[in-house]
Amino acid sequence: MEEWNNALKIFLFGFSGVFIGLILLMWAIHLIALFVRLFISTKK
Amino acid sequence: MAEFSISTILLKTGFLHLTVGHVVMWLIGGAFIYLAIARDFEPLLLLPIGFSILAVNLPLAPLLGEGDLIRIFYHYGLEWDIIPCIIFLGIGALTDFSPMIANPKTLLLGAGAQFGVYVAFFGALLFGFNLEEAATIGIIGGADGPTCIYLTTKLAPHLIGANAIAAYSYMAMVPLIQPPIIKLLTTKKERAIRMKQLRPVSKTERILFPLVGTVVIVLIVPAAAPLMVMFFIGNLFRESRVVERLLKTAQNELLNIVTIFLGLAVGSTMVADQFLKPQPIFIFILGLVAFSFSTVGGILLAKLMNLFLKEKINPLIGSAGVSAVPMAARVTQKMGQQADPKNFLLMHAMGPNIAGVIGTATAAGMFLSMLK
Repeated sequence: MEEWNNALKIFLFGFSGVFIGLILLMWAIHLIALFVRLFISTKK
Repeated sequence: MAEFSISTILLKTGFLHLTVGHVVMWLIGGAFIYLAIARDFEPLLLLPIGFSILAVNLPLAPLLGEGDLIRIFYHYGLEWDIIPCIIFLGIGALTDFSPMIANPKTLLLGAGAQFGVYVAFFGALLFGFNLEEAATIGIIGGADGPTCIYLTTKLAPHLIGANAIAAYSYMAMVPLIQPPIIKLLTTKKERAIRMKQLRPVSKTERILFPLVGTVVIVLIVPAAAPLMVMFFIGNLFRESRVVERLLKTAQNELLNIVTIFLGLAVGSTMVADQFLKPQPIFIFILGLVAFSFSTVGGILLAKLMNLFLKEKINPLIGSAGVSAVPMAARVTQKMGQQADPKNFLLMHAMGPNIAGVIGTATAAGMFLSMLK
């Protein structure tokens, strides 16, 4: 039973960790795009 | 002085030590070699793996003992994590992140397609595997060979042969596994959805992404650092365009060299008395479950996203979140064109496909941080 409890925790933390990681990466890409638009593209 | 007689000489040959198990393993090794040569089925891996299986199942051959040749490949290559990480360097050097940078929401599809990892994880527990073993079997569903090998070496090294073979076999079978699932979960109208052409991605964005990506992923999952650092530095070699020699080495010679050692080291784990048990059969069943549910997870998430998005995405690209690069993206392209011959989805599918690689490495890191 304890093994299944641990498995459930691993699933919850693991799967949500994957989503959190990739959502943060998605925001980071948006920030990079914003940075490039504001500070690099306008200098041309 | 050593005694010389016919019996002592015979005892030093392999013949008297042969078992039925050895012969069965030769047949398995022979089958892999056949699949590689005659069927062109993942030949870069199955050929060395098949030959290694044959070699390590020759009795008395000094290959796997302490300090023996293939044992050294295994020890330094896999136990020291060198091979999977160098393969990630090569993959990073070969990968163009532009489709993902141009459409960052495809990262979500790469996360959704890890669903099968956890379905197979629970399935493996039902089959009687422990948590560590179940995690390594689940990660087969990420469809990423090096990550699967990396995690298995850390958590359940005795399963490395079966896990690696299952992962690479199913990756080669993506064009067979995915289409029926896709057809079951999508309508022809959905498969025909056309997506807007991707915006061009500037060089600055492509250079900044591996730097930012390393920081973000490694801060969240430090355990994934060895894979992610090598992946992103390989990509920085590619995008910086200032280290052409390093880039070519990472993409070609280095990747090819470690692929040879990987095949030999993985094959060496398939010794008769360790491999001929029911476990590998269960692993193959669970691997198929993992791949199938990863495809389901990607497609269903794409459909869910369409409920909220103004510009609809084609749910086919969700199936490409299974990180078998580029096979899963090619399946998307082919099925999209079957629904509408003028529909070009390949570049759109490359986004979730690459995101799947990052997602699987992140999932492996999460397993490691909780189980090791």
